[in-house]
Amino acid sequence: MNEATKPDGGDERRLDDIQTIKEVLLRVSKKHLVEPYSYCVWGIVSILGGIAHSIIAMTVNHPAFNYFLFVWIPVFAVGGFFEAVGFVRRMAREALPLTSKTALWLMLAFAGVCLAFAVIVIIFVRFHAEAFLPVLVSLFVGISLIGYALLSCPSIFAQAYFVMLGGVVNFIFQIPAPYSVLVTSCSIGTAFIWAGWAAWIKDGK
Amino acid sequence: MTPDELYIRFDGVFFEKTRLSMLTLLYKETRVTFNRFKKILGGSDGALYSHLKKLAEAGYVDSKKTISGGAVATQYSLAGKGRDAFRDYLAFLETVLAGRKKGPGKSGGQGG
Repeated sequence: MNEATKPDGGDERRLDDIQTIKEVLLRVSKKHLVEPYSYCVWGIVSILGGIAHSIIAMTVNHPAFNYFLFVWIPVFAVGGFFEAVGFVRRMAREALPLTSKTALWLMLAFAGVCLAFAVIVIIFVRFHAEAFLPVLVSLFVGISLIGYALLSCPSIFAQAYFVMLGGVVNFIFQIPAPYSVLVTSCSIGTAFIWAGWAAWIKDGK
Repeated sequence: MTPDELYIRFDGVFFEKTRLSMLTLLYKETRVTFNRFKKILGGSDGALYSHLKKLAEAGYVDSKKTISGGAVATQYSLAGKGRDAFRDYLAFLETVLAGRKKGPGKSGGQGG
C-alpha cells in the first residue's frame, strides 16, 4: 500500500478528495457548445436578413411566402452551416464526443422548440395574425436562449432577455411591418453578436 | 465507516487523485474519450492508460470503441458498480463535511 492509497489521514485526506472533485467539476463547468464565431454569424445574417426583408417589402409588394423562401431560408442555411461547423470544431477541441449528454439534450430541446414554433406559425397564419409573427419570433428565440442558458451556458441569460425585449417593444408600440421585422432581427442579431463577443472573452480567459 | 472499512469498501481505487478525477469526470459527462481525459486532467498517455486499466479491472469503468470524426476512438463510461461506488463515496464525503460543520473531532475520521 503506497502513501497515496493509505486509508489513514482521516478528515484531511477526505477534504483533499473533495477538493479534487471540485477542481474537476470546475474544469468541466457549463460552457458554450459552439465556437464564438457561430454566434456572430447568426447575429450578422439575422440583421442582414431583416434589412433585406424590409427593403424588399418597401420597394416591391411580394407575397409573404416569398420572404420566407428568398430571405429567411438562406439566413437559416448560412447560420445553420456555421453553427454545425462551430459545434463540430468545439467538440473536437474539447475532445468531447458529438453525442455527449448535453449535446443530445440540446438537440432534442431544439427539435421540440422548432416543432412547436412551426405549429404556432401555422396557427398565426391561419387566423391572419401574421403581423404578430415578429413578436412571436422574439419570444421564441428568447425562451430558447433561456433553455440553452440553463442546459449549457448561464452567461447567455442577459442576451435572452434582450431578445425578448425586442418582442415586447414591438408589441407595446405596435410597430408596423416591415419595421417590426427590422426591430426583431436587429435585437436578435445584436444579442447573438454580444453573445459571441462574450464567449470570445471567456475563451480567452 | 472507519477509514479502514472505507479502504476495503472501495478497494483503494478511489484513494488516488487521478483516478478520483477520472471517476468524477465520468460521473459528470457520462461518456468520455481518452483525449478528453488528457485535455482535462493532463498527464502522460501511459499514466492515464494505467489508471484507466486499474479502474476497468476493478469493474468501475466500461469502455467501447466508437467511430468519431472518421477515426476510431475509445469511449469510457461508468459501470453500474462504479456509479454506485462513486455515489456511496460522495455520500461518505457529505458525512465528513457535516461532521466538520458540527465541530472538529466529531466526524468519525481519525484525524491527520
